[in-house]
Amino acid sequence: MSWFPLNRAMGTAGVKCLKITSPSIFSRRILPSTFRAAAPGYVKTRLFSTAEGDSPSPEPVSLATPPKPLPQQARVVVCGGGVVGLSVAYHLAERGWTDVVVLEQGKVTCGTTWHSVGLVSTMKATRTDMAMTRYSADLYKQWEAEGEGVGWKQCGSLNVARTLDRMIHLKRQHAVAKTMGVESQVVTPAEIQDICPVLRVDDLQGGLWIPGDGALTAPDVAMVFSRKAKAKGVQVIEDVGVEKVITENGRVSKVVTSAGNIKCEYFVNSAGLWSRELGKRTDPRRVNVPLHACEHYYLVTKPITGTNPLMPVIRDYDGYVYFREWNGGLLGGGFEPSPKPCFHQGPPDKFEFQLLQEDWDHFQVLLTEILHRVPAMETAEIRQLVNGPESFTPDSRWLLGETAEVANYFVATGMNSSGIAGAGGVGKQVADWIIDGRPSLNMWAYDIRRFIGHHNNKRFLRDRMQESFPATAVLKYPREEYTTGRKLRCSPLHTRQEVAGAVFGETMAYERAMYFKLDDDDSPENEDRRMWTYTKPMWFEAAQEEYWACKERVCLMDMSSFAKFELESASEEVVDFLQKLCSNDIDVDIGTIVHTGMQNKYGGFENDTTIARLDHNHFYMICPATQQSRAWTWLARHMPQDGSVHLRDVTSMFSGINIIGPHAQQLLADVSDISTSRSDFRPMSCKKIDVGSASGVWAMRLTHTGEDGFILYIPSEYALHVYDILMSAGKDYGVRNAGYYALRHLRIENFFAYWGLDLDDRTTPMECGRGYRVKFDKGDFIGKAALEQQRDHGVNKRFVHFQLEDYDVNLDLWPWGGEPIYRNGRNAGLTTTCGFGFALDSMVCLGFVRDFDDKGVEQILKNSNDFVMKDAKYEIDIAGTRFPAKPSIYTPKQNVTYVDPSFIPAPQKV
Amino acid sequence: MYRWVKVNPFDGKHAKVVETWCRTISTAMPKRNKASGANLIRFKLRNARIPDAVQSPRLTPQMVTSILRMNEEAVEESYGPVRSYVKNQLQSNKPIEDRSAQGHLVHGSASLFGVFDGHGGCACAQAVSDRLLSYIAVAMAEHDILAAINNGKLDPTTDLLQHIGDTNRLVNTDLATVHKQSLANFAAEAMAIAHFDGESVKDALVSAFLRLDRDIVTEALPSNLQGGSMDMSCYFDTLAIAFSGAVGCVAYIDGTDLFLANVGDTQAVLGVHNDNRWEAVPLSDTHNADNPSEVERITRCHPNEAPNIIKNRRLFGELVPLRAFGDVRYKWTKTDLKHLLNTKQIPKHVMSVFGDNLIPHKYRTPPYLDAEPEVMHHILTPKDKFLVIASDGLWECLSPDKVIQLVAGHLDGQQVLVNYKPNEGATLKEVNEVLSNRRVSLKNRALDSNTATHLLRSALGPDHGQVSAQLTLPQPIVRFYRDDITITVIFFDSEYIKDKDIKHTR
Repeated sequence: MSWFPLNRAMGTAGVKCLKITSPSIFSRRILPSTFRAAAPGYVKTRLFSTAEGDSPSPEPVSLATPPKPLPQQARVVVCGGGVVGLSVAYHLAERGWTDVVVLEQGKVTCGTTWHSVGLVSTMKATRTDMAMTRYSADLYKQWEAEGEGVGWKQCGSLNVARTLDRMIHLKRQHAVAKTMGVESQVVTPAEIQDICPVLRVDDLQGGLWIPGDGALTAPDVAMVFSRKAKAKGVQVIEDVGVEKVITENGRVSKVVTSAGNIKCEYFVNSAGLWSRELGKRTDPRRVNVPLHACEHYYLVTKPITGTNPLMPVIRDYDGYVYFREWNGGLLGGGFEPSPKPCFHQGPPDKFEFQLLQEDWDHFQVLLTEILHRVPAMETAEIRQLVNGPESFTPDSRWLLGETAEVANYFVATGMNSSGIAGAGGVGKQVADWIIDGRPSLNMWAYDIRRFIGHHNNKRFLRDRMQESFPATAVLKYPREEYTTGRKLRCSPLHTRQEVAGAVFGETMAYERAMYFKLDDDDSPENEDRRMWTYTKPMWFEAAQEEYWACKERVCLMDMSSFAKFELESASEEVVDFLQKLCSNDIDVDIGTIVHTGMQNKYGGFENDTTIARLDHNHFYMICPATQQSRAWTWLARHMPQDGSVHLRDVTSMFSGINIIGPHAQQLLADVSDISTSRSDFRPMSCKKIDVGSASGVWAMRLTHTGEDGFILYIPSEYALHVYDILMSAGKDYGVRNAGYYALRHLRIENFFAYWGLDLDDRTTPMECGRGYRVKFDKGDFIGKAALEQQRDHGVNKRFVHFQLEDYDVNLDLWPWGGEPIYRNGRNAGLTTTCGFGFALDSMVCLGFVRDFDDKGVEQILKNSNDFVMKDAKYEIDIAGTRFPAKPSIYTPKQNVTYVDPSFIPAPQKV
Repeated sequence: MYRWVKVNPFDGKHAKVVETWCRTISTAMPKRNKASGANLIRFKLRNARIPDAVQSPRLTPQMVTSILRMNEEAVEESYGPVRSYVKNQLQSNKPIEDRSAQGHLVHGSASLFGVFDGHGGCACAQAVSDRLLSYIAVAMAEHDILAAINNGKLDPTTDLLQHIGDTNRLVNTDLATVHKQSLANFAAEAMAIAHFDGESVKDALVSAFLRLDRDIVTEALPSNLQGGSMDMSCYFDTLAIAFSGAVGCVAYIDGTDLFLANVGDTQAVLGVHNDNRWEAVPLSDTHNADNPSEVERITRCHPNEAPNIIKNRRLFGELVPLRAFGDVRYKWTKTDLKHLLNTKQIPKHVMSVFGDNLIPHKYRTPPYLDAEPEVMHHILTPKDKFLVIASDGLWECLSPDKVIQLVAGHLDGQQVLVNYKPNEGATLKEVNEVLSNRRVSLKNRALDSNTATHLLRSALGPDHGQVSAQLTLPQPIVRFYRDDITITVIFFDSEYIKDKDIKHTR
């Protein structure tokens, strides 16, 4: 009972007006009693205290019902009464799960929701983003229409571009939006001027106009979620803080609160700024919730005459700023490049309704840009500068889903300053996730399992804030790497590679050489070539050299970042375990390697792995680097309860060196004293060998690229020795280093799908041409029924290899993944990964082709081969330009160049 | 392996040599060359190389900062035109030979700030810093105050001057009575002959300087020992004072009047803010061989001796400043010096620090040296923002212009620390202009809040490696890299000066 609304509109039932002139946030006041002991340096604040109607009421009026006793148990406990937590509860209730308790340590909407600016933008980076924000926007619009009073005004939004690259970015978004039916329009500076006359447009290249976007009053949305959830039976209990989450056998069992204990099946951490600390208070094993708070500023002016109440929301992200109309004045805020991370030691006590001390000097960067874009604001007076902390994640994407550490412990937090736009979609997805065991969209980009323990390191998070906070505004090029919080996990070869001119990228904090600089890369005439761009990047020539070396000679590639696991059991329990998890047959001869998917019950790829059988009861599993957390979780959750199977993460124990190319066979023979001929060392087999003076090296004849070669998994301390031996022995074979760009181009050209990039938990082996790896006759395995269904009745989509035609790799914009595919003029999906095929001499795009009906619903493809190949003309839309594309469902023939190195011509003896 | 190298550390050519050598030196023993009196150092070259002190700093940044801040002092009390002052000191000699002193005249409204730089030991500088401000107070005293001193109602050492800062000021208790007596004599004579008339500040400053030097010189005369007016240990102390030397600079600030009395190579520079530009206005001349008028002054007094007096740009090839307190070797008569050498009560080792040539070569017409200050008068204007007085240790590292820029930048940076809040009713344009200006200033915000420490760090480095290297130089060779540094920065109250200025012109 510490805040109360004044007599003016508050987002409760019965108020049915558009609150453009008096959004409730203005009238919300916070009573001094909220701030029992404010920490020094923090401002006890009242947002936007206005002159009129500002006399403090003598007695606080309570809206809350008298405190109810805490229930003894509930199916789901949601911690956090912000807009996200309430949305999760609402969506659970919508699907009939009403035994839900929302616990709020302060009052509903406190934390971040109450000072949110309330922008709802549907123009996001990816299709999934767009789908979720569009869901939110539709929900809010519907509520407004129903008279729920969320202050929605459909003013549209206008994203403007100062640079040509920003314009490309907008056009790419526009292209994707079109496939989803989101209305948007590319506009010229003159058109921008017409839509919003207060803007300065002389330095703009253009913009994107999204008429369906809008703005609303954030706390009211939270109140509606709360009210609607309560109406269905959800209990929203305020003034109760969660002290601890108790787990049993790795599952949530009980929540300890300041008001007693609640037994529960599921727990949802939506504690926003507090969620990292809350995650730590899990007993006995802490949950990592990697996010950090950062100061976020926006300025509200006093009314400016002539301000259009329906002025669109402006985003001028080349100047880091955004604007909206607010109560007759303007609100301008932004995402400055050198932000101020805060709450490094966790949020202070009683911060629920507080703001931070505003730092005008820090805001100056944004103020200059605000005045630059809207000169009319120069004469405006200040109503308030708001410094409200918000939480940001290391890659500035939301943190959603079930945690790796504890089963049934979900998170829905780390909203990166787009909580209102995201809340609806996030709530729906997380509710589906809890109820169905998986969300209804591919959520891998937001899945909390994309992080590992190290990402929760506080200093790492604080350092990364320098990039992840401005990422909302600063133009990120495709596949652009972060530069802060780097060099954390380095392979033993890292320094050697660095000396050799490696340029590194990062996956799961692991540094991987992307390419090796050519001698003239740093020369003055190459100065203007760019690493990050929409067109041909500067690494192209280097990747090309490495590519050909892999194709024609031999290359060494550091594969240490791959996630590696060992599974063992006393007798053959591990075989049964893996047979249940894998769709391929892993009960193979010792020394054999199997590529297999691990399917979920819907047949989708939870994981795509390579499993080597080292012994009858011992398996070595290689997964993509990004799977380190996720794969562990999937394996661990399905482990036999009797403890008969033993799982170890050996990622850090082994370094991997990939020897790719036709000379790989001879090179390995030279240094290892074993016969590496194809008959003695068959593809997809493995042996424990000595290399140089190092022992215990697992050599596997596969390369993950489609080329011949070996991967050596070496105990890390020997890796440098092996690398040096190979390098010196390989001199005459023309050995060289190769990076991930070469690998990527090889595998894309060879039509190899990679998990996380092409494959996800909604893709089945039948859809990506890997039906041959599914062994239906081996017995039961997870997802078998779903796959049988597909085998017999058809698939939803088909993985296709496209070659662009009429395409100039040097001049045209590049596809980077995410480009719309058009089949006979109708959208048929998006590309997943793209790269130049050097052997094919054309740009290659991989992607799934679907058959959408007029409503955009996927149709089952009875004969997917025919659907893809017969009577179909394809085009791929790169930022508005459609390039014709030649489809293929097999690896193109001219790509399979098999050079048998065992052939050595010798002069004939006479 | 031993090598003998003649090193003049302040000569750019040799500094390089020392620098390259320094990496390999483990022990260095300064030894006075008997023939020339110049410093010769015996270096033992190490066989093993020591890490480069700049590239591999031995001190952590925290250690550097705490060493630099050890002697810092800031007094924020406003007194007349003086808004505040800060000072700091860094030693090179062990013990340090620099001293500083500051105080208010009890009768009147003047403040005094002095920086003193000793040589040949710290005794003379200690005595001067201890006594000079009181001498000035007496010289400035009007008739009735002098009368009160003479009839014992006022104690000249404690009642005329209020020391400020320096809570742990050192005072030589053994000599206190001797010094007090000398000061009382000065007061008595001043009353009898020429007491202060309230106008000629310059004359008063000159007389105070000269009188103190005369007292230092005469207190050490062997006749005092034989006359039995002093016991042996006291006498040795007076000898130590008289045979060592000191130069110094005193600022006298009263209302808008600023007088700078200077002896030797300590310098004072005024920071003037003129049309958005900072200007360095020197308020003292250095009295050394680089100053032609000084050389001419001396040679004029000692005609036909010119080639003997200034050798190697030094007095008798030995002393850098051409005006100084103490240094009786260039002031006493040859007879007195010889007498001292022959006095049996004085053990040989006391005088042996000067070697066998206590009497300079071709010492014909002493005194060759005196402590008559050069006094400059400046009327403060609101444009005069601060005054930097520092010993030559600072000026060898930084030019006056650089010093003024550093202080001005620091001032600018420190001023913006307060949390900015826009005024009620300000437009965004106005707010943005203020913030843009602050942005420039914020860049100047320095690591050290004390301006003197900021100067000190800039003089030594300012990079951490350089500062660390300077601070870890072994004691025997540190003196060849830098001198003791003492810095006093006095900030003026422009509002006060503006008020005074208006009254003045009216």
